[in-house]
Amino acid sequence: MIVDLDVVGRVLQPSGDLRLALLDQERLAQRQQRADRLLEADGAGHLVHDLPVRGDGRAVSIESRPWRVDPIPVVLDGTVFRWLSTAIAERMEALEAVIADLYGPQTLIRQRIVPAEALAGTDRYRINAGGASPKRWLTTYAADVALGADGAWYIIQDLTDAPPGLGYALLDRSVMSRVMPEVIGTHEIASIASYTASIRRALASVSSAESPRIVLFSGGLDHPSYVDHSYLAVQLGVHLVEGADLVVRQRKVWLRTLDGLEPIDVLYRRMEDSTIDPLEVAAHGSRGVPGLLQATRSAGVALANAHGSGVVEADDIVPFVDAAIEMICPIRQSLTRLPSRDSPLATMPIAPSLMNPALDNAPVVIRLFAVHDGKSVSVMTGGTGRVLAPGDDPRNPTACAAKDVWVLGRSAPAVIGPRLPQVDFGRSLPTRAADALYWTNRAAERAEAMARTARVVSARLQQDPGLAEMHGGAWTSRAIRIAHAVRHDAWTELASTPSAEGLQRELGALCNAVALEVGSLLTEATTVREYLSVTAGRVLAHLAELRTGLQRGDAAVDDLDAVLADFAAFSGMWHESTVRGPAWRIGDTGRRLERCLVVLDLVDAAVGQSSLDPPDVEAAAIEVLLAANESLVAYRRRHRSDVEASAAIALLVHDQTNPRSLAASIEQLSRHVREGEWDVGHELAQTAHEALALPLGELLPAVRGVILDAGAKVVERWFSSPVVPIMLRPTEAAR
Amino acid sequence: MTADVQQSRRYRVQHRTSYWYGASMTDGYTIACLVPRPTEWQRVIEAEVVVDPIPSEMDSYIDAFGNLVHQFGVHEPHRAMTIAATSVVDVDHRVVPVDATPWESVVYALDTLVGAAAIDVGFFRSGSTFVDPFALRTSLRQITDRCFDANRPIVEAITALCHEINTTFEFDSGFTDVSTPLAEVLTSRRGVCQDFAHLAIGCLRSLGLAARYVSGYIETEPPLGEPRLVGADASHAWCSVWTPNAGWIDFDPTNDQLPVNRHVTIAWGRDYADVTPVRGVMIGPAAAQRLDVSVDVSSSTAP
Repeated sequence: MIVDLDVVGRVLQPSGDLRLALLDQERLAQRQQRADRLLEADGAGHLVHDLPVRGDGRAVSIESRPWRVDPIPVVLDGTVFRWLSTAIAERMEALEAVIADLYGPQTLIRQRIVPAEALAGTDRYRINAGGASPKRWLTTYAADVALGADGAWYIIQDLTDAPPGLGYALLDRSVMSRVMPEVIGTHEIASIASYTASIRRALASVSSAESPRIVLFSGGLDHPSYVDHSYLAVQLGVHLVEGADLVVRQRKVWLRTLDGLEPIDVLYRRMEDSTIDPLEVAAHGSRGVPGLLQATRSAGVALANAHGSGVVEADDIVPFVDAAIEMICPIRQSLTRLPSRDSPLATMPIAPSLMNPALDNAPVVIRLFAVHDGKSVSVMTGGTGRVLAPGDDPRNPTACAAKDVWVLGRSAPAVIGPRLPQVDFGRSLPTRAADALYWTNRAAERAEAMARTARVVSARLQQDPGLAEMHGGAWTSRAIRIAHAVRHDAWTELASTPSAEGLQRELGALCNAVALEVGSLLTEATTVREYLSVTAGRVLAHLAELRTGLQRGDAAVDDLDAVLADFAAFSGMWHESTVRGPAWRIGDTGRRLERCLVVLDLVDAAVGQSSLDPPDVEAAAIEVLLAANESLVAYRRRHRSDVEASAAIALLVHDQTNPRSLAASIEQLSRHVREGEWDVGHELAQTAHEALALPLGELLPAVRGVILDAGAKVVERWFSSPVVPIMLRPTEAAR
Repeated sequence: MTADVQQSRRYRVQHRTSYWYGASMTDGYTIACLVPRPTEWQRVIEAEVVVDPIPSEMDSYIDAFGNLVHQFGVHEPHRAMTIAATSVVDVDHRVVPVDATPWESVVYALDTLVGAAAIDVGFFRSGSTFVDPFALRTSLRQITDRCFDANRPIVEAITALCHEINTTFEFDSGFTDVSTPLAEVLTSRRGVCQDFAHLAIGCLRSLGLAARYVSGYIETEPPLGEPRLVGADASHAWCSVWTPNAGWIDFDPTNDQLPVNRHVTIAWGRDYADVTPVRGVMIGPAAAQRLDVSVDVSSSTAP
């Protein structure tokens, strides 16, 4: 489509009222801030970064890559969009035909339209995919297009392997609709909400199964597009899986779940083709699933997109694609390829502060998304725009500024296809997700206890500075012991002699330990976002911010209060919004086990050893113990007297009605193991119960032993089988 | 190429690959390219692949280059795996091919091929996993300049290349392994047959010719009065070059000869990566691996 040159500059821009509403200088800064905050809250402002190594030894190091949403969207007129979407749909069909020929009859190769030499030279041409006959090569497709300064629309690149960015596009829209609901509401912006249903229908259509089980196959936390994957999985309502979650047996793909293996029919492949099967592509990474391609060949699983579909986006092949399309499947509304990367593109306004202090203009590349459901192509009535920095290759913008793409005019009513039969995945929990949920909850419980202890001690000191010197530092000594005990690495020697400085050092170390624990909590939680509510995600994002302050080691009481509020919100969300099923059970098991250990650590440190301290020191220590376990208020309501050891122990250790008590935690654990039908766990819970009857001196070590054993048994029972593929040693060189 | 049936030889090849793991593996996935392919000059009389433990699945398929590939999965805990391939083939006596086309004309013919031949040949002219002729152009040129004089007939030039590699590189089985890059072979001027095959392929592709890698075996015991050839009791490798009149012509740079009837062909591809005899992935705890390979080739006159 050639746009009248007079209006080129205006095509990407809103006009009339909408223009006024969007370019309002005063509100732009406000909207930008709010968009930043919302994106941040979704964990997408910058990717998870600077996190410690995971428990399983997998290093997590992700480059921090801030990107922001520009509150000025790309606005496409309905007519322009209809033209573009027809062009995109036709192009998708044409590329499907080209790919099918390259792996099938190979007419294009015979006629040298696409030279065999070029194909052989790129590993994007999966030479062994020849002869494969997937139901369809392209289920999903994305095209980068741009408006030239000459008024023509150009294709910048085709994305046919595992087109990235759909999750971001949905996320951007969700941010925009929260930043300016009134603008979207009054200006008839086409909704993109029904597009997820189109994707699901398209994915289901590649399988011959009647009610196919679909999973989104991601490269995991260290994949650069992980946020894209994880947001999309949540929106689609499908499991997000990594290589280690899947195993190929009997030429089929299975999902490892807590209850065993479950068959999978469709893999929505968000991993690049070259990494999906270490057996055939000889990749040394461990992200893929060995045998996956064999399963594909024997139709044991369908890949969307099919293996090998990335060939037309390979650098070596791109120069031949247009001629191939021309020969195999000439299209009506062809988009021309941008002649060179320096060809001038039309520009549009970029919000101030994104790149420059003032409102400025820059070219924008627009990514449009399409799916094919076996009958027809649906193009999303939206997309994502990426701002080009000066000198950028349009295929690879570096500005890290995204624009939402708005299509004017209410979208055509969503296509009503046959309803897909519902598959109940509710009971299945991928083992790796279970593992992450378990450790998320353990980390949350431990971090909360540490933060509360630090807060209680700091607050007491603040209220009563004299405490530090009380009875020659006797209180300080007790406080140090408590602070030390609740730290995860508390088995190290108590180094400091009781002094006010020693206590400060201990509190600093405790805050650092909270920061570390929050780090592992965030790492684990990021891989299981689909099991946490949206609000829980926001709470985590807030915790990530607070973590920086904690790392400095000089957190004030107020900072700790903020951290504690987040923990309360997180565990509240977990408790109130998680469906009671395997995910809940394994997560809560982690939480209760950790709570048992916390109570044992604190009770032992506070009153476990006989002391000759004066009664007022004793009472102050018990107060700290109760407060650190969030039980001081309960104690006061019940006893209305000064604190004393035996009553405190009764409340913290034996009282079934106190949800913070050891007895209540053990009772809850018994319930979980009973419901999970786990015999070994049941016996352990029984033993722990019996140990509660022992005198305190024997009770503490006995229960600790059982709980530590139970923790080890959980890991052994569910999480210990290694799933990392190992390459066979190569045979010797041919001689 | 005519075959002299009188001089056909029958070969019996036993190729045994055994792995031992330091721990028990839950799943093992293996791809094996161990069964000889039938050709104009080679008939497969018998071929079988036996795996221990007995695999849960065993598939075989013909790959993109026409080779027979076995793929199997073991899904029970196992600490060892043995793949025993046994085959019997009759190999006809091949006469040394004749094609006096100047090598530059071969390149021109290749550039303009269409139809099925464009596919058969075109996949063997580019860089591949183990051979990057374009990055090594300068070093390869030093070799090709000595063999590919202007307008030299193709078969003559290839014979010269074979001789050049054989005489200026040292066979040294201790120096390289499967993953030694070609660049290192060029610098050290040493290697084994796999390296020499890759080297010859690199030379030919750098000139624009089509060359493929052939994996197979070579006769262990020489017929009376003939020298014992290098590469016996192991997998062997050589290469093939395409000419317009004679089609694909095999040549063995390691032994400085054009194979007649002492080579058994298993498979061919762009390079070693396409026809690796055994490759695999297993799932289990990280553990040491031990590997043992034995090859036995015996021959008799074909009945």
